[in-house]
Amino acid sequence: MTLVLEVDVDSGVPVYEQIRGQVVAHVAAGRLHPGDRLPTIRALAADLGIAPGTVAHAFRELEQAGVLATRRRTGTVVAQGATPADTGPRRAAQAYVRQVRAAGLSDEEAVALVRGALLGTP
Amino acid sequence: MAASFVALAGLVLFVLVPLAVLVTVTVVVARAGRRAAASPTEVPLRDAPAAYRRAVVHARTTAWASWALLVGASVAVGMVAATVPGGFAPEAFGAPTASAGLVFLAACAVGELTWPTPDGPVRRAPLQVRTVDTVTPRGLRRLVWAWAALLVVTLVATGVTGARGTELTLRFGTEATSTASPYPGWRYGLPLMAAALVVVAACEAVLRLVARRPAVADTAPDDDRRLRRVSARRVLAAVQLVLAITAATVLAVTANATRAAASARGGSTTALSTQPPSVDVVAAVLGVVAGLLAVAVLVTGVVVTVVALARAANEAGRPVTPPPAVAGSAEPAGAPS
Repeated sequence: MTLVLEVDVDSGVPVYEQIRGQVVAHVAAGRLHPGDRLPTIRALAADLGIAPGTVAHAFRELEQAGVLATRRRTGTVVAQGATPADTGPRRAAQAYVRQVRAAGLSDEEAVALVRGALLGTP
Repeated sequence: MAASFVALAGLVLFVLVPLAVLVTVTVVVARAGRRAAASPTEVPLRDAPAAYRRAVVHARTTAWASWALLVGASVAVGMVAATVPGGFAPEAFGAPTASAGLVFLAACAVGELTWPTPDGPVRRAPLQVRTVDTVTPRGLRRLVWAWAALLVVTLVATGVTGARGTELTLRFGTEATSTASPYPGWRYGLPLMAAALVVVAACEAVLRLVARRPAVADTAPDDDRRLRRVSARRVLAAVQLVLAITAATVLAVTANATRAAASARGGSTTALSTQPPSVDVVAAVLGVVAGLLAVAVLVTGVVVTVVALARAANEAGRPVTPPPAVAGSAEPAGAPS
């Protein structure tokens, strides 16, 4: 299955932040592995119809966070230190997503539930 | 003179006749390709997202305009050759190949550079590296390089064996010679080689544009990739046809000159002495081989073009899959520590 980035340019969340968050999510879910190559900044910007600087901003933050690494020959790849979440929490997250889908909740509502649980649990 | 005109007229005919076949087959197959959805997850082209349908129309318009310009350029060059007294000089023999190929590729490049950009609020991009290799039919691309290689090898061989740049002279023993022309020596060969290499380089540049153009909005990655392959297939089909016609023409001229020189020992032979028969026999055999090869190259080029354009039309009309739900498209999470 081809992984896809999706951004909403009308969203209140900055586009670079949407890109950064989705790349992190793909890595955490184990869909992107260390060493996987990502498209160039220019290619992603062309596909999304946004300025290359926006994608560059997201990639720069991801590099600083240790999620991505840029190599001269291979371009931008998932960094060796970027590992998916532990198996247990990942499976729990997948089960949680299945439940909220079955319950008909939106993505925003599902994330709000998690945030609420995180706030309420020390 | 007359021979050069005949060669150019033949080139025009070789383009026009195959084109009539191409148009017919492509239209028939394109209509057959507009079939119903094959699976519940697919929708027919008429129900595809507007952005995808707009992209298909853009690709089709580009293809028709490119082919029209290719034919127009071929006819224009043929007419110019007919009006020039004595036809083209040997140095101008790269003009038909270069003009047909480059005009076609320029139109394709304009089509790729004006490809519709994403304009809705929600945009998608596949997270995979896209290169020319991943969007190009490998066999067709190899065929383009194979025709170019055949042309260069043939021209180098005829250049080395030619005399005064435009003639073939066979020597029988020490005194007898037989000369035939036109023969693709260096005066014909160098411009033709340059034209072929420029066309191949331009073709690779256009394929790069196909790989780099923006993804079609609101479309699944597989459908976007298929549309890129359609564009690449159309580009390669025309380029391989131009190179095949050029190579076939060079081989045919080589065959004629070789056979004429081999059989002219009593005609233009300047002197007769004790002559070993092997030279003219070898030349005659080579002439027949070159002639057969010319026919094979021409037929292969036309057949491949018809098949490639038919496949492209079929693929462009295939049902599409609605874009998938995107994992992680909700509010962004924090970076891992």
